[in-house]
Amino acid sequence: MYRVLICEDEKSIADAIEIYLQNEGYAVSRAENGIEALEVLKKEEIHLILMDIMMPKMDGIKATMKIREERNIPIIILSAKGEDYDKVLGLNVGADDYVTKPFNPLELIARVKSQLRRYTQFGSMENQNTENVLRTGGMEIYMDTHQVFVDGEEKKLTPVEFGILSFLAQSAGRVYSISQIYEHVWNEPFVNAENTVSVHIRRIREKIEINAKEPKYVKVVWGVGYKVEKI
Amino acid sequence: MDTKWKKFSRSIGVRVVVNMLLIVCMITVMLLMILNNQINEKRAEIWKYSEEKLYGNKTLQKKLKLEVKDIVEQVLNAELVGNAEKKKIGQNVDLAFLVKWIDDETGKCHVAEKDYKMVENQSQRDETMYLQYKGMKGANAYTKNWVNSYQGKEIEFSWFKINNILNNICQGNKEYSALVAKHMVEHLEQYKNTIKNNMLTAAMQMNENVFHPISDEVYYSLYGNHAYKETNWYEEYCANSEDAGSFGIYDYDTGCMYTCYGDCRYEDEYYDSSNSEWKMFRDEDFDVIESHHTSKKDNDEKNATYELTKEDKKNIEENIANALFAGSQYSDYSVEVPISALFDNPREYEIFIAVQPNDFAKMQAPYEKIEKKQESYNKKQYILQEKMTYAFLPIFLLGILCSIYLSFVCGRSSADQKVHTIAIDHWYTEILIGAGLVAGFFTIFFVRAMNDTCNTSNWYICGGVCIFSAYLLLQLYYSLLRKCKAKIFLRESLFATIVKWGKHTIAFMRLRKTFTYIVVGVPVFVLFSGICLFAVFDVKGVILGVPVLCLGIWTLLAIIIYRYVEGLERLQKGIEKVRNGEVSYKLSTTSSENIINVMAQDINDISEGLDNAVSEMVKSERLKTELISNVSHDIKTPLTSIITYVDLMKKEDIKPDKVKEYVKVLDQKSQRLKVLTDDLFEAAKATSGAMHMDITKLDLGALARQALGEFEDKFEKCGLQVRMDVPENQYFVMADGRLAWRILENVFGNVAKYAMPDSRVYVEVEEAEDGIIFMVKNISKTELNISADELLERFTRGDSSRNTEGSGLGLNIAKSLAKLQHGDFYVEIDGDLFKSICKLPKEIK
Repeated sequence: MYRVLICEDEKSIADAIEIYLQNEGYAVSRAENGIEALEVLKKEEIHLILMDIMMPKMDGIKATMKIREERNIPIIILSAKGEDYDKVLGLNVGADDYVTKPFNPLELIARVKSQLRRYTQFGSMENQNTENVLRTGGMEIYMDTHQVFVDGEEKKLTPVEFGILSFLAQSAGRVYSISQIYEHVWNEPFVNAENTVSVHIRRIREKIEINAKEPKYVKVVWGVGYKVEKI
Repeated sequence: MDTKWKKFSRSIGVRVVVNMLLIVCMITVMLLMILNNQINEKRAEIWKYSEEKLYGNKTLQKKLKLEVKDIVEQVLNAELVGNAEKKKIGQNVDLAFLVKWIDDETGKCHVAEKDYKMVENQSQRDETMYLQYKGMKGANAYTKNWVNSYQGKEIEFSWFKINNILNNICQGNKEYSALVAKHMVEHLEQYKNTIKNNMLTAAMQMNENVFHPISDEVYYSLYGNHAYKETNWYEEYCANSEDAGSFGIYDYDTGCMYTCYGDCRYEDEYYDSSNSEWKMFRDEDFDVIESHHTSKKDNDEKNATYELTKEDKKNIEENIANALFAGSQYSDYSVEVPISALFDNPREYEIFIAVQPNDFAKMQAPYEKIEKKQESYNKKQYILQEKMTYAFLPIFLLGILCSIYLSFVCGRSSADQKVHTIAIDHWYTEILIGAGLVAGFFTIFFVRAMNDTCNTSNWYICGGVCIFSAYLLLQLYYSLLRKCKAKIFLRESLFATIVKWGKHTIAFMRLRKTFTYIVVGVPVFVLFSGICLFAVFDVKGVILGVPVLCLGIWTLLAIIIYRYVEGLERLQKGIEKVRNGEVSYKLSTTSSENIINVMAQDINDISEGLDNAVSEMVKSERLKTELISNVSHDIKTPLTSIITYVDLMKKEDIKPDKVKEYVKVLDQKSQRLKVLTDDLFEAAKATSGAMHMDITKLDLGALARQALGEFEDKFEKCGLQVRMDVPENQYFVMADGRLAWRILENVFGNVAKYAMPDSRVYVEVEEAEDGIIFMVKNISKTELNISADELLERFTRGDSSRNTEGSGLGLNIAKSLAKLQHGDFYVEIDGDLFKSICKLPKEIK
């Protein structure tokens, strides 16, 4: 049984999250600010932390930085601050994910699950045959078997979707234009093929991302093309 | 064809060839000119040759020699006048002679014994009658008519003036020189004056050669040691003369000083020893001088007649003979054979020798032969000249054509249509024109010099310089032409530069008009009043005082102006710094009340105010952003609780069922509240501009495809078909990708919400002058009874029922975002046709 630490000063929200997590079968510890969270971490064995940013005494960013000095447990930041700037800051100090309030409870649970899977199972995956496997973050693409795993969970993709995803993932971080993707995957010249590529990419996102609107792996570079983020 | 020809004509090869051709033409023209001149000169030589040959003719000389001895002896030994019978004039002799003299008193001309009325006036007395036939120019002779009337007999004589003949024979003939000299010495007293006069005349004509040894010695011998002391008279003269450039001869016989000033022939000053003073007289005849001094001589007791010893006579004879013999070399002042001096009579004599026609013809025969030769030679030369003229014309024309061609192609190149200039073209136009004028002057000068020197060995130097300067002139002309073609004729001229500089100066002067008035006005006023003072009172001190005063005022003003200008420059630098955003910059000021200082303080105040305003603005901007962010947080936190607990309630099995319905409503409304707050904060952020932007080059085609890809499922659900006419890689805009997507997201979201189901949506792009227009057209589901402007206002929705999803902020946000990216967003309504139009700035190339 995994133990999740909820670090949140707003009691009602923390209560609600606790209910959801307990429903999913996780043990829950609570902390009201960063200092408490650090103390709890010392006493108990915690597998994942849900961290608010705006807290008295020690805020979430500082707490995350402190935790990261010693520990490698997954941290999901849960904040009402939805600016890009805040997200980048949170992820940069060491958080594994960033969920903005008001959140969709289901999405939050999905993210928690995904982070836990990665944290606990990732090691065993590495033992498998690593030939012909593309990895980025928690996503693994098996070129031989045409399988895609995200945080250890297999995602079913059509051949075209797999083709696009593997093509983008082969040089993760690089942006490919629509025509480049089309010509590579469909293997025929791109002549105003409308929005075929875009539609496929949206479907890939819907399949592999927890929140398709805020993708983690397959990102849109607006007005240029698409890329798979190199994590 | 045309362009081919152009290319060919402008190619460097052709140009070089034409240039060479031009130079060849110039050289040829020059050579022809020189040749022409040489021929002309040669023709003139023929006449000279003929004249020289006359006296060199041996036959004639022989005869003259034979007779001259007699003539001279007779003439010298006898007083011919009044003894006409003694004259040997007959048809049997080869040569006849006559003596002619003019009585100064009566003005009558005597020829031998017979009175001959002078028809000519005094000035014509010595007129040389040029022989008008047989090419004997310069031989002093009289025409037949005159001869025919001689003694009423019809004898055809050709008359030669014996003086000239004698002169010419004596020159270079020692025998005759000695003969004449002997007679001259024998009649020394008669010769004296003539010789002296001749020498003095010569001295005054050729002052610098007067001390030629031969003349000196003649003089010396004539007067003996006591009378000739060069140093004495020269020093005496110098002591009393202010004019060192002049010289004089002191006559000890008379005590007369002959002075000559430079070239002034008869402007004489003499020392009158009786009055012990210097006298000056002009244009006086030598006779007058003589008479004046003769009277003086009579009174002078000291001046005893000097008797010549035999030895003296011999010396003089030798000297005269030498002078006569060598006279041809010093013809300007040689001792002429003074026939007239043979007679103890002031009248002037001329002796003529007549030669019978037969003899003359005989004598002239060789000349005729020579002349014929010369004529044929001349004819040949004429023909050559004529031919040269024929050759000259086409070559000259060719040269002109070449230069015209070059003036057409200069500055052009076969490669392009541009005008090419070389370094020299960028010199000031005036310098080029000046150089051209100098080159032109040189050309003309050396063409003339070439004409003068065509017979000397210098002609090729002159010709070379001439061609060089002519070619230089042409090149300068082409340079000016190129300037015209490149349109820099005026722009790169000294005049334009001065005008430009003047404009700047005037602009500066206008800065302080008063300065100008003072700087220009005061010195001008002082100068003017100084001139007036000088004119009225003739005060000499004004001459020095005025410039000093002007200089002083100028210096003072210059110092003041320099200080002001320095201050102004400092101000200008400060203002520039503030303008460039360095609002905290402070100009250094002092406490003085100087206008510059006051201005500097004012500027400091302004920049300080600006600084305050800027930091105030930055602060308020930050506060605004913080406010939005904080309010957002404060609203979102309770909203999170609401949403989560509603979600939890949904999962509970709640009784009665009515409550389930309530929870459902709560769920819907809380979700809507979430959307509303999100949109509201986005709208606030977009309007306040507190948004991070990353403007890059975007492909509108790719963006449209990506956006449509996102909305594909939604459109499909509504049965909307998209007709897109946006090619990839054609329309590029400068925008932030995420914000551009947000605009499209709002537009397409609008379409999905409000478009008539199962209709078509058109996506189009067109290029405008100031940006690229992205247009989405769709048919509205409901009637649009609202204006386009109203639709863009916040919280306005097409259906006005506010029941459906959507905040009513979408279009407003789109507009704010477009504005943020320096674009524009607006909608157009045409019945049920709804057009969303977004304009974004074009890619900067």
